[in-house]
Formats: sequence, C-alpha cells, structure tokens
Amino acid sequence: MRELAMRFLNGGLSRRGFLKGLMATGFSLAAAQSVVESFRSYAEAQEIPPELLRPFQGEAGELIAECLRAAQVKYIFFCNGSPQGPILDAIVDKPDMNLVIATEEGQAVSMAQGYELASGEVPFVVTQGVGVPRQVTNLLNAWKDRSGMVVMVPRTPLDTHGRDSFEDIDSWLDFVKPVTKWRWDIVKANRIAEHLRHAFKLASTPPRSPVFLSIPDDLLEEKNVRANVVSQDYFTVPVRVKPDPGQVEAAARMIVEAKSPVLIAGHEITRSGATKEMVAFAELLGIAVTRERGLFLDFPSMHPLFLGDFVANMRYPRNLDLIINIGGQFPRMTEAAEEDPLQFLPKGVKIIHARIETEDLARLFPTQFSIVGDVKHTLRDLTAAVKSMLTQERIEAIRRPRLEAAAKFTAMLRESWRKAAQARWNQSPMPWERVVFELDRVMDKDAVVVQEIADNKRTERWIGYGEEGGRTLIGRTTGQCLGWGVGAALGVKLAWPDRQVVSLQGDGGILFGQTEALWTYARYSTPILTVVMNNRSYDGVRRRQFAKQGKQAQLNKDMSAYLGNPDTDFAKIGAAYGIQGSFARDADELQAALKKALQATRDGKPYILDALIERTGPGANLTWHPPFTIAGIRTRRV
Amino acid sequence: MRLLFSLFLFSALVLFPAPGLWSGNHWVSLLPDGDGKQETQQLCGSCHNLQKTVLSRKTAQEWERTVYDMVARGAQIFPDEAEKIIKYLSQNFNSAKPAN
Repeated sequence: MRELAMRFLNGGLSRRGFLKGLMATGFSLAAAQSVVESFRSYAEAQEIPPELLRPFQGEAGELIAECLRAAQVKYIFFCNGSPQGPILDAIVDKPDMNLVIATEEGQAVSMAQGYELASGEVPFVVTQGVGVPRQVTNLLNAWKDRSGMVVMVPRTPLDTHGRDSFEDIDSWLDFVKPVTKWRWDIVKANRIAEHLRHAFKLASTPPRSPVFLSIPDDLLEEKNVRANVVSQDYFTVPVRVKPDPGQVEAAARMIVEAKSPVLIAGHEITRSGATKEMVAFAELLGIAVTRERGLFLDFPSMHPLFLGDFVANMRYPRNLDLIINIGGQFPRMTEAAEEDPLQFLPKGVKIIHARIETEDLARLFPTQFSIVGDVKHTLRDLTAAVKSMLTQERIEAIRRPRLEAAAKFTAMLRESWRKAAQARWNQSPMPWERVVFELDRVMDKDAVVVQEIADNKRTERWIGYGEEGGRTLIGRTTGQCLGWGVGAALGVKLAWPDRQVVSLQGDGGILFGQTEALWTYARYSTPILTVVMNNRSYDGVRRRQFAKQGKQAQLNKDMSAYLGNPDTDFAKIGAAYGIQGSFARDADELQAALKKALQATRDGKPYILDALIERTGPGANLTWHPPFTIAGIRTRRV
Repeated sequence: MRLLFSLFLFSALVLFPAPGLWSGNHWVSLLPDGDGKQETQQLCGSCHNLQKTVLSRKTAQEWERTVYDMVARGAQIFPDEAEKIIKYLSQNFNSAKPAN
C-alpha cells in the first residue's frame, strides 16, 4: 500500500489506478474510496499551478529578471558596472521593477538592509566583483543584525579565472565568507534559477543573513538558457516554531517563584511582531524590562517598566535572582575583553533564554532554560502557563508592588536625565539632548528614526518609541561599522513611504563614506530629514583613549579624534547634490531650521540639518592636532 | 653596589608603584570622609574604579559637568544623589587640594 500511495502522490498513478490497486490488496470498495479521498488533498497540494511554474528559454539577463519576479522583488539595489548590461536590458522596458542606484557599493548594501529591516522582504543587490571589498563593511553590519539579502556580483569571464586578471582575484567568496550564510560561484547559466531560489530561501530563513552569488560576465551574456522559473513561495521555509511545552511549564514555574526577576528585550521580538505579547508578559507580574544593545527598541521606551540598558550593577530590581532574556543577545557586560564574563553576573542569578537562534543560547552563561522557538509563541505560552499557576488575586499581589516600584524608579531616572541636561540646555554648541527634544516636539506621531550616533546618546529617553501605531527606532547597527545610517534610512523610507523618516547621524559617521548616498537621495527625491549631530569629533574614541591615562591624556593632546579644521559644512555637502540644508548652532536656529526641513520633506525633497552639538568628556575642549601638513614638507611650491 | 641599587629600586617600586598598579580598593581608600562619600563610592564605583576621580582636580562647575555626563551615559544616579556627589567632589578634589 505504501508504494501505491507514493506513486499516487508523485503523480505516477491516477485516482482510478490507486483505487484499483487498493482493492487488489484486499480493501473493500468503500474502504478504498475512503483512503483515496483522504489522500486526494495531499496530492492536489503538491500540484503547482502552471502560472507559478514556467519553463524558460532565453537570455540569462531575462532569466534573472524572471526569477526576481518569482521572488516578488520590486527593487534592485544597484551599483554600476559594465557587465551588468544584460540584467538592465531585461528590465529597461518593464516598469514593475525599479533600480535604486547607489554610487558606492557599501551604500547599495546599507540601502538594501534598511529596506529589509522595515519591510521584512529580502532585497536583491547587484554590484560588481571589484567592488566587493567596499561592500564588506555593510555586509558585516547586515550579518551582525541578522538581515537577509541576496547579493549578485558579475565578475570576469570564466576562462580568465585564476589568472590574476583585470579587476579579479581568485575568489571573491573568501572575501565575504565570514559575513554570509552561503556564497557560490555560478558556473552554468542553466542553474541560475536554482541558485537564486536557494539564495532567497537562505536569506529569508532565520537567523537571516546576506547570501552572495558571483556570476561570470560570459554567463550573463548567454542567449539560449533553459530553466524552470518557479514561484519563490515554494522555496520558503517558515520558522514559526513553537517552544517545548515542558520547558515552558518549568520556566514559568521559575518565573513565578522568582523574587527579583528582570527581563531583557531582544531584537527577535520586533522581528517576530511580538511587542504586544512582550508588554503583556512583562505587565502580568510587573517584571521590569531592560534591553540588549540591539538594532530596534523592542519594548515601549516610555513604559513605566522600561529601565533602559541592562547594566552590570542594577539598582532596580535589587538582589536579582532571575534574568529572562527574550529574543536577544546578552548585553556586553564589560569593556575589557579579557575579563571572564561570568564574574559580572550577580551571584546566584538564574537565566532563562528564549530565541529562535540556537547558537546564541547558553553561549556565555550557565542557563537553566534555553527555549528554542519563535518568541511570539514563547511569550504567549509563557503568559498562559504563568496564568494557569496563579489565581488572579495572587497575580495582583505580585504585580502591584512591582509596578509601583518600577514606575517610581523609572520616573526618578527620567528626572535625573532631565536634570543632567538642564544646566546646558540653552548653550551653544547644543547638548545632544536638546536636539532630540526639539525633534520630538515636531516629528509625526508615527515617525521613524534611523540613527547611527554614538551609543551613549540614548534618544529613547527623550522620544517615545514602540507604542502601537507610534514611533519606531531603527539603529544603530550592531555591526558598528560606520557608514551605514544614511543608506539604511533611504531603504527604510522606500519600504515605508507614508511614514516620516528622520535620519540621525553623527558627523564622524557621515564622513565614513556616506556622502555618496546623498546622490541617491537627490536622484530619487527622497523626503528624509537628515540631522547631523555635529560635534566635530570622534568623542567616544577620545574618551576611551584618555580614560587609559596614557601620554595623550597626560599631555592633553588629542592626536586623532578632533575632526575640526576643516569645520565640515554638511549643508554645503548636501547642496553639492542639490539638496537643501541649513546649519544650526543653537536652539533658536534649530527650531527655525526644523520648520524649513519638515516643509521640504512634505514637498517631497530631502533636507540636511547640520546641528552643532557639544563635545563631552575628557579632552572635550581640545582643538589641537599634530601640526603636520603636506604643503609644509614641500621643497618646491607645486 | 649594583645589588644595593637594585634593592633600592625594588623597594621604591613596591612603596611607590605607578598609579596603574594599585588595586581598586586603594583608590576607594583615598576618598576622604564626608557627606557624599558613600554615594561616590557606591554609585560611581559600581561602574568604574575611582583612580581618575581621586587624581582629578576640578572646579565645582567641572565636577557638575562630569557627574551629569556620567548620568547621561547611563549612570543610575538620582538628582539628590548627584548633588551630593558633586558637592563632595568639589570640596575634596579641587585645585586647592594636593594630588595624592
């Protein structure tokens, strides 16, 4: 009977044949009909409608375009190179696919990642072999952020490989190996479709990651390629895994019995669309919430239970006995790499860690429960389990005092942040807090902030993020490679065109090769307000170096972090691309500039606001830099 | 003679080591008694060792900036505690006090 069933399901046997075969084995007619009926739905499910599986014969570039259509790709993030002609020829007269051209490969990747973060769709990137090194920094960022994308890179013709040819090395795959889930050299044009399907599948399956394909120019030029184009829906692996019920039950008991638990909110909450479930779970027993140093804000920042960053010595809750990490990494506990992380855990604390990404579970700390599953399911199941263990009265008795204590603590923290900024509030250069405060006053209630600024500038203390229908925070990339935010903001705007997008960037970060992205902003009329928090410094670098009390600190000389002289004018840089902008040195100028800026974006235009902010920390006032000049070493005036 | 010199040098290093060689507890022990010492030790010392604190000499305004900078960077110090710490540091680690 098994063989009959297999042949029927594989399409090698008709219904009548299956029925006859069953009766020949001894089934009655009625019994055989019942069996056939039960198998029929499985057989029909395996039939792919003709419009979703099409034989293809034609040019390689056209095949790639058809595969992208099958994967529902709407945008190709693109950095120019001569061999890409066949792909462009395939889409030039087809308006369903748009190019988003970046003038630098790394920016094409960051734009794609921004699109992926907002839309959840896997973007397609086309650059060029010789441009691979330039895109590795933002591939690293995407990899660290668990963002999926498919990157296709034409390279030199197949027969030239291994000859140290023009614009080629032996293998681009080695370049991208550490920052991709899969990488492949396509060597046969009739396998393009197969490799693309596999790439999109891997890029979209959690934990997501960039996937890289290289294709020789001569394959791209092939004219008579045969393949099947199949809807990517049949090559998608949903990973909405439910957690183990026994583990959930035991973990829930540990949570109920804990005297002083804390939650860590991680990026899988946002990825899974589980913010509501996380809030419900935290509020159930009044458990305070901290965060990993992540890409998103995975818990509403103005919620009374939200403490902000997890710190090694928590003031609240005191005497921590349980850490429940939902969907994130453990926060970096120490700056010193050689320290044993275990010594920073409070004594006797237990850990519950829930993620879909198994590699990170029980990575650094002994973990009582490593719960594998989609965090939305895990949160629902944990909530249900806890409720089943306690009466409503008992829940209230646990929740109420914790909620009150947390609310009091977070209110005092907010007061301390306000007080800390108060003395500097009206000064020029401005404190960063003033810039963020003014932005908060004028941004739309559902605005998106994409930021790449120093980690110590916690904008979520001043802007409420994470409420349903409210504002969203994306950034900073956990890859921490500077050169990400300007491009990423464009990708976010592309995915969410009807939400206001504000890009918060540091001057140091923009100078890491991001001004090129402004060309794309101008070309595609991208209504984004870019605010440059300009302190003419790599403040963090100077702080950390001076903290070690080396010779620079002792002599009060900052060798490298001061970025003034020249005092870069970012509004003028924007003007070079036809983008409006202005410079604000104090709050009055800032308020006026914000009015102009938001009008410009409403008119469909980008805007650059260069906001002068203070430097802080040891050496903040230093403007000295080594007096070396290249003009000064000349012996001839040339 | 050489042996005597080496012994002298060794003793000097033991008695007067470079600042980086002292343990965290040493810097705490150099905090003078007074209102605000406990807050300084517990709230500042929970994040970083107090070497730089003890060795610095700043005006009141500079200490205020420093403490509030720490708060902005994540130190969980409430307003009344911050005022106490600022006052304590200003009184005990200003330019009139010799460096230890």
